[in-house]
Amino acid sequence: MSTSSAFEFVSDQLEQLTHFNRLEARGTLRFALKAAGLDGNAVNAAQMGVVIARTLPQELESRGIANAAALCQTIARGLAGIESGPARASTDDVFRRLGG
Amino acid sequence: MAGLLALAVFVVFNTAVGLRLLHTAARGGGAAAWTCGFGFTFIGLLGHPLHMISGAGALPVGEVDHALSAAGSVFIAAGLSAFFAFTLIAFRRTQTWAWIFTAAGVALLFVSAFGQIGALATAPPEMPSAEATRNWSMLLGALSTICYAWSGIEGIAEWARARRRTALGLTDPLTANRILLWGMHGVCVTLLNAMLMTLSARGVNLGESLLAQLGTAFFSLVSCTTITLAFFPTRAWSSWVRRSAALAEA
Repeated sequence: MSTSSAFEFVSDQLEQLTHFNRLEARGTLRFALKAAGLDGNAVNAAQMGVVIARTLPQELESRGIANAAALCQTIARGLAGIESGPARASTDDVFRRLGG
Repeated sequence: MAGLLALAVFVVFNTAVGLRLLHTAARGGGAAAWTCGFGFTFIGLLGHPLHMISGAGALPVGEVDHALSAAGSVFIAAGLSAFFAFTLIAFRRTQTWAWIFTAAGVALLFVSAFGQIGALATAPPEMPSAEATRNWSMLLGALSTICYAWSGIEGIAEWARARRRTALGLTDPLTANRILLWGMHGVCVTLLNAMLMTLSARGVNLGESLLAQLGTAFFSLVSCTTITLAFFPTRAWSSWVRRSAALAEA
């Protein structure tokens, strides 16, 4: 199953800016997304921005990354250039529209 | 009497919610609104009332109105198919297993509906209709239980994730609450189906069983309340949900 462009961007950045290999970078990001109630297939850039600010720093610190907050700020700046639309209609979209 | 009253409440609430969702769908609510709207309308407005009026399940085969019973069976199968499709669209639209699961569920629903129609058409007139269609009804009951259980499990699991999103400001509290209410509706109807199937398998006459009547009344009322609050939220309910979310965040 394909992941969203925001997910791909952030996991690539983690791989480049830390000692993580590809699997570790994607796994760490998935944990951060799970803590935010999101999944890598549908997350958009705006949601990813919140994850980078709120849940990713803790995940990085727990894996021995010392400068997690600064690293997240760097990644967030790069994320600004990523398309912000949703990768697909989310469950939230479906239930919001059902409200009329 | 309690069971009849519960059925009346079920019909009124399911019809109101179904028509409201079809109205939402017509104004651009998308495939989810169409499937959910048809699900409630086919089952609440058409399927169960037609089945009941036909006498199927209560009268001997010779006294059953076969056309009404057939229409009721087909509408119930169509309604449950719509709910299978809704769960697929809302929660699992990118997953192949869910498409296969839904297709299998829909196919079996129509097999069970036409099986009931065939069993009634070929049974001797003096035979109780409930006995003539017992096996097909059990299959329909099992499929209905699976349909609502899937919907309930997905709803509750998604609500758990939606709570985390709400805490981060990523999801509107009212939307998260709507997902929870949808999950509760699925769980509630699953428990009702499971109870009725268990009693029926033990040979209990559902029309005369106090447990069946009270259980039907309880679960019907709870499920009607959940879908009404989900799709017709009052101002007071919406305010309470938002206030609770704000308090939880603080």
